[in-house]
Amino acid sequence: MNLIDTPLMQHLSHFLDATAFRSGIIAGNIANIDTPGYHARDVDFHSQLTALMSDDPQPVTPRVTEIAGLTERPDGNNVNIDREGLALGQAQLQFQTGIALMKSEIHRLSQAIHEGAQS
Amino acid sequence: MNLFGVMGISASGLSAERMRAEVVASNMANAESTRTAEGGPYQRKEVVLQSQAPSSFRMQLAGANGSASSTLAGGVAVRSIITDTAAPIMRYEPNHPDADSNGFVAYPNINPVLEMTDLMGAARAYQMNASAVQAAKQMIQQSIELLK
Amino acid sequence: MGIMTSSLGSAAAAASTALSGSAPPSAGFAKTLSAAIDQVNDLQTAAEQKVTNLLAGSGADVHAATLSVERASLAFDLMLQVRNKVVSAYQEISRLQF
Repeated sequence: MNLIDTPLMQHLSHFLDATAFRSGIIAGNIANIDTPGYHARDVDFHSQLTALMSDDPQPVTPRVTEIAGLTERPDGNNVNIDREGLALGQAQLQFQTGIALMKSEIHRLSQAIHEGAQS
Repeated sequence: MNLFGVMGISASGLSAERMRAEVVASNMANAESTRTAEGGPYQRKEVVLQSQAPSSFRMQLAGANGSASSTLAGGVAVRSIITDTAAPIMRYEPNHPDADSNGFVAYPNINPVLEMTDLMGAARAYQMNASAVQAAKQMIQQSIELLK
Repeated sequence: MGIMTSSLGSAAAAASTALSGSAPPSAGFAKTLSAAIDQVNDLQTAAEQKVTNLLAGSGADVHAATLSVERASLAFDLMLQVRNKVVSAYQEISRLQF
């Protein structure tokens, strides 16, 4: 894999996977906003990313934990719709950024391959 | 996680909130119904929701690997539609065809303010789920952009 | 795409055996080319697998599938360019022998 894969592409690939996964968790929170007793969940994103960026990245199974510090309504549900909306927008933008960076990386590699042909 | 699965989760949210809105509409429409097919006044109905465990194996594997909760976030499902067991409101109307021996008519115990609040909550949650579907759809479209 | 790869592979094998018989610098080309061909095969198989999973709906993600298709395409481009180099080097050397 060393001829084609750059470390940046590996990192970006895992970043995209993690962001897609997180958007799924957020969608689950939003869908369960009226479910009695449901507690909002999130992925421990930041520490997972730093683990990925440190050494040779292995796909890390994301840890899903309950969010601390949310107030519980009388029916036991603690999903904060504003927080979830914000998190969804954030995940969407992150994904878009990852895709754009990946595209530019692919383009760079493609240029390198074709430039070499003309020399 | 599969982005199409994410859309499925939001879709389940849409159906659940729509069901809530329908039940509220039924309650409001029948707020003055003193007679039903089963006899007796209309009984207020309520939707009970339940979160669903995710169906994909990978997420269950992730759950086994040390998440704090036993089930991961999946979608939502309507577990049941229960009937409110509150006593009906009795009003004195001796000329009403459904009046009992004392001249009281049993009316459904439905508070329009509560029902409207429920409806607004359901509408807002429906909107949020629709936004989530849009977000997932955009992410899938962007992934396809990689090929261009 | 597998057919194209194998025909390129046989052409490259013929070119590299001819080259390795004539001059030492071509051995570098031959090794790089065969490494590129192997990589292309691996990546194409992986890409086909991912796309099939995506179409079957069994949990593959869209960006993973499109990414693996892109990587296979890049690897194929690379192999193509290396092959062109090998062939043009062979042609130069065969001209020298006149």
